Amino acid sequence: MEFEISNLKKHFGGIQALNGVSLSFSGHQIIGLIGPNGSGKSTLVNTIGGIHEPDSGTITFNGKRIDHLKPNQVMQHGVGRTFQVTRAFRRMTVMENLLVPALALYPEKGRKTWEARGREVLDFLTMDHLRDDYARSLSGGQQKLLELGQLMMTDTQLLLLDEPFAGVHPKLMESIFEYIKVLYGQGKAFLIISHDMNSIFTLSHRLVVLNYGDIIADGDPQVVKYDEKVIQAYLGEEVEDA
Amino acid sequence: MTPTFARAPRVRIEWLVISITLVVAIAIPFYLEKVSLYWLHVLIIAYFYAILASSWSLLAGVAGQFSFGHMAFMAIGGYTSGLLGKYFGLPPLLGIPAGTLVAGLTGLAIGVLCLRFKASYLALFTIAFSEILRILIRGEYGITRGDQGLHLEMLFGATTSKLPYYFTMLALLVFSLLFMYWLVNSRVGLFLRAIREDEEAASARGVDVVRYKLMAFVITSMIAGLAGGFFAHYIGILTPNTFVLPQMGLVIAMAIIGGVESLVAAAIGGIIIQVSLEVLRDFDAWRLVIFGALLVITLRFARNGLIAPLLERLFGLGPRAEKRKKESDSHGV
Repeated sequence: MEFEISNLKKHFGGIQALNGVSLSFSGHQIIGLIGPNGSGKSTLVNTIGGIHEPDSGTITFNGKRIDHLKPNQVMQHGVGRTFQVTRAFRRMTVMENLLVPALALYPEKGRKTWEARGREVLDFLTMDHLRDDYARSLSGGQQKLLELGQLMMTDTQLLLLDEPFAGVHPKLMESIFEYIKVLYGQGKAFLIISHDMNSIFTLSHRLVVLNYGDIIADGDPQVVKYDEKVIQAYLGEEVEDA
Repeated sequence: MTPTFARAPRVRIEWLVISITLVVAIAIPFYLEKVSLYWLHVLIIAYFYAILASSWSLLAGVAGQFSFGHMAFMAIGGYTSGLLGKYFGLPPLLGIPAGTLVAGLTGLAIGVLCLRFKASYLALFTIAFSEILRILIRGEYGITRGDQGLHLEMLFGATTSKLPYYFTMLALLVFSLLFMYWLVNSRVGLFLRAIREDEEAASARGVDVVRYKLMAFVITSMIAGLAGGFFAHYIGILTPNTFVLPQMGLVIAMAIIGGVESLVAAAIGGIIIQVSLEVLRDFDAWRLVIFGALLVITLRFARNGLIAPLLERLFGLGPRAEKRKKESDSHGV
């Protein structure tokens, strides 16, 4: 797996949200993406995911350019994402939510095959008992799991998780933590945005810190943790606590 | 009691209701032809509105795309067939498919222009489109006969019986409902509902949002055009007043009061409201006030309409009922 972002720029009006961001990795890794509010983390994920078009710069995944593609085309290339505020299809059942990406990307396999796969995914996420419930009846944490399940239905290689632990019950947070590790073991790569410092420092193999659209630190989490620029960006508190 | 016995009556009720409805729908015109041709006519028009309300509900309730151009597509179907008949001598049986095609192509052109944007653009664009089309037809008197009305050949020639028209419109309603039901239950329907819920999230899950929105818009435009063609060759005259915006409002009210997310409920809403408007004709303008109030109350207190919840209860539809059914299956049925 090869992923490369080169000199990515994106602005909104007078605000430069991404100011020439470059980032690359090969093989599968869990990369943590942190930074203060407004540092450009979600913009970066939205730009990789195709929701925003970059002003300039390139994004390549396994040798193919995926910048300027629509979100569904990015997904076809094996890059999937979850949202900061969950966006499950609320008036559809849990199973239907899982079927959408599967049938959109691989219609030839048919609904029955995908329903069987959906049962496996829900078993893995211990949510099988909820398969016929409306997504809107799930808790926030369960909806986060459902979004993860949607990505598991397809052959997503790089998972962009935007705040997977935010607002989640501690027990469910532990579960999400474990699922990420299991999926990593299966060869998936992750780019995870999180404000939950304990989780992100424990989980990540590499930590990237954004501030005002620039990468101010990138490397081993235990080294980045004590980087002066990072401490300054966070006013010294959160990182030291972590 | 085992779940088998608990479920059996619901299946019987489902088929019983469908069978009785079909028998009544087939038998009633023979009775009405003897006692009241007027009420037979009202039923034909009610089926016409049922087709429009249910196809609009596919677009708005299932796909989440609010169009105010549905009556305009209906008129395109009718006028195309009428004009082809008048100027090229095309018989209705060829004119109606041609009108359906033109309605679909117009829907395609509008869809390509609007459906890449947010839903509000489609709503505003289709209001403008409907009015422009109406003014154009009114203004081009030399071609369309404007407010004088475009006379069309009757679909079944010189016959004075309304029965062929009744059964044609009924068949059109049944087949359009069956087709739309199949579509909603296919993967296309799944994607349309996902788009209704959240376009951006649907796209992020791999759905080609513009493609499926366009597909829904073209299909519903064609259904409206087809209904318009039959309607025009039944009434025998078309005027721009047929598709003024209040008429579009009526179709929307039918779908919403019936249940905008259910094709069958929207169709039943169309039939009930059209028949009720005739029953309450003595109330003159007050009948519109009554239906306006009913629409407001429905929107406030019954967001899935008044008919759809009844159908869900009767036929055990919806995810909760599905869950109950699967639970009873897992208990050893």
